[in-house]
Amino acid sequence: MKFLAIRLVQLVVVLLAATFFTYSLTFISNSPSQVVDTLLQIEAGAPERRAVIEDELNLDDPLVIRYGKWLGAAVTGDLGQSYSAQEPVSDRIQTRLPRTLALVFYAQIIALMLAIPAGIVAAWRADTWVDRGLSTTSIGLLAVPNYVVAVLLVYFFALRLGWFPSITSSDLKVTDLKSYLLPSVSLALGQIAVYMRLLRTDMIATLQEDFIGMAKAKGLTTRSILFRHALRPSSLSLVTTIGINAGAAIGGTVIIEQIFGMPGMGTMLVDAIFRRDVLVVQGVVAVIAAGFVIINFMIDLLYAALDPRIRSVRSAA
Amino acid sequence: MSDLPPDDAAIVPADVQTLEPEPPHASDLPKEKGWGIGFWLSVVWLIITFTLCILAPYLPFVDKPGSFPDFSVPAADGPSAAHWFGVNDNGDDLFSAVVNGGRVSLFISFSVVVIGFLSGGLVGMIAGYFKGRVDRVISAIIDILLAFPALVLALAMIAIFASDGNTVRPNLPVVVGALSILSIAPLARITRGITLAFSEREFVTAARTMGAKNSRILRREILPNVIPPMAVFSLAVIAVVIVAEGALAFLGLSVGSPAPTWGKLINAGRPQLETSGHITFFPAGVMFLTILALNYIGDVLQGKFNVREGAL
Repeated sequence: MKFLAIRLVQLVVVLLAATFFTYSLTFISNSPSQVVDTLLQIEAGAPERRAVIEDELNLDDPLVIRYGKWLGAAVTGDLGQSYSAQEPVSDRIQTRLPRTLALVFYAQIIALMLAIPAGIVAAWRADTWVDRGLSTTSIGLLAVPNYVVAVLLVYFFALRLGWFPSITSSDLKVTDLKSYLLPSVSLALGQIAVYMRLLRTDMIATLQEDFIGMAKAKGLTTRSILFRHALRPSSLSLVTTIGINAGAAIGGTVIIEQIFGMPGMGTMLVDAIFRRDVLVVQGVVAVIAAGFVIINFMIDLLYAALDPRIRSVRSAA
Repeated sequence: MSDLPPDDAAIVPADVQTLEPEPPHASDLPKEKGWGIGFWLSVVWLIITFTLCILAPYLPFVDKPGSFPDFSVPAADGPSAAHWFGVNDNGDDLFSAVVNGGRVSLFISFSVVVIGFLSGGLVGMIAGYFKGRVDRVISAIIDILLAFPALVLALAMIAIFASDGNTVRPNLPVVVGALSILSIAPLARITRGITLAFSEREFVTAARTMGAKNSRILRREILPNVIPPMAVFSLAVIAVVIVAEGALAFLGLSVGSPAPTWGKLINAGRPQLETSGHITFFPAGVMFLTILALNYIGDVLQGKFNVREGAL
């Protein structure tokens, strides 16, 4: 319980810092009046709207107070107004966030489904041609940017073969697996390499331990030794990396969504950047950062569940 | 079996370090004597690419950015003797485009890594050497920076710093600054880890006993040991930055002048992918080989130096 409490406090501190950073970013290079200028220009509003906008943004208050008010509203689901679309930012996020999360989720599932068996086989057959082939493939996969993968997949599977749509529909459902397959694979390929290499290294170390020798001596099958005895103690750095990689994956969704025309958070962000709709940029970045921090928090808990020693060691420290 | 005395020490180790299995030495590498053919191929590729990009303005066979297109060949014509990578739909020589774009890409990537190396390295060394409160504050800041998906933060910074009046037009300093987020925090973290390990070593204690000041120990004892693993790690960071810059360029949010970079060239070929794939495939291929070479060399050297990110 103490472990959980410490982690929760850390979570809140990081969340506050990350959102404050996001919030103040808007006002670093532009003075508040320039921000209002931009917003006025976007909505092509009359000069008398200036006072209304200034009031909406609480510009009379100092930065920290303003942030406090913004955060208070954000927690209750109010991230301000999109001046280009004339609707609340949170409304658009609500329809788009699930799509982006689904993309990240599917990509991780695909990556792990391929990386875990590959990593286990590479470790089990370490330094044979199987291992070398898998390692070479993985270092090659690492070198292909996800947007190049996406362009190639669209070319072969959407344009040439016509198996999958090259552009997703504007009211994409998260259960529309056919539309999700190519984008997810584009995101997953690079991650497969990362996961496989990590698991392989840890697994080789685990397979040299005494309890594996014991399991072999008991006459257990190879499959049982690899999956039931060796996988769990070898998966710790893999689990941590999933959290860190989720960040890379979220960054990747921006460009993948753009390529497939997916109506998610990424297209919303890029669109807002080009329209200079600062409140949308701010809202999307804040939600993404908060989501990433929370994912890593959950991964940390999972880590503790996988290895009971972490709990005692960390709460003792 | 059950009447053996319980061995508590084995079940609950007091030391966190025992959780990290010692990495098998250089096991990620093919078992070869010397450096291996892949290493040398990578070195040769990088030398060729970097030389071409650096010398581009002085090479007669590389068109200058914005030079007159060649109308004597059909639009979007494939590779030929006159145009090694073919031409795009405007008649621009693609080989020149790839070299000129690579020049900008590589300049941005190296600037970003140098910034990360200097600032991240300094901060990381201070945190790792002085420990205590300084370390806790610096580590917390690094954690918060790493708490952002880097590309999203870079996009946000570009959105905020690059809008001039009516449009978003990122210039070189803005792009380099935004991408520096990708290099500062990871380099600071890895430097902190290495410094932490070295500051406990005997030669540092010896220097301190002889009355050396902290600044001297940092400069003379720690720095020479920290630089090689940092340099190796930087190779991977350069690759990451090339990819990230490509992503920005792909989205149209990287520098537009003096030449479009690799990401933008790849994106520009997308509409003609079916009819003239070479417009996309050549820039993509060159980018792929460059990243592959950087990662491969980094991997081999990392094995030799036995630096492991996870262990730090």
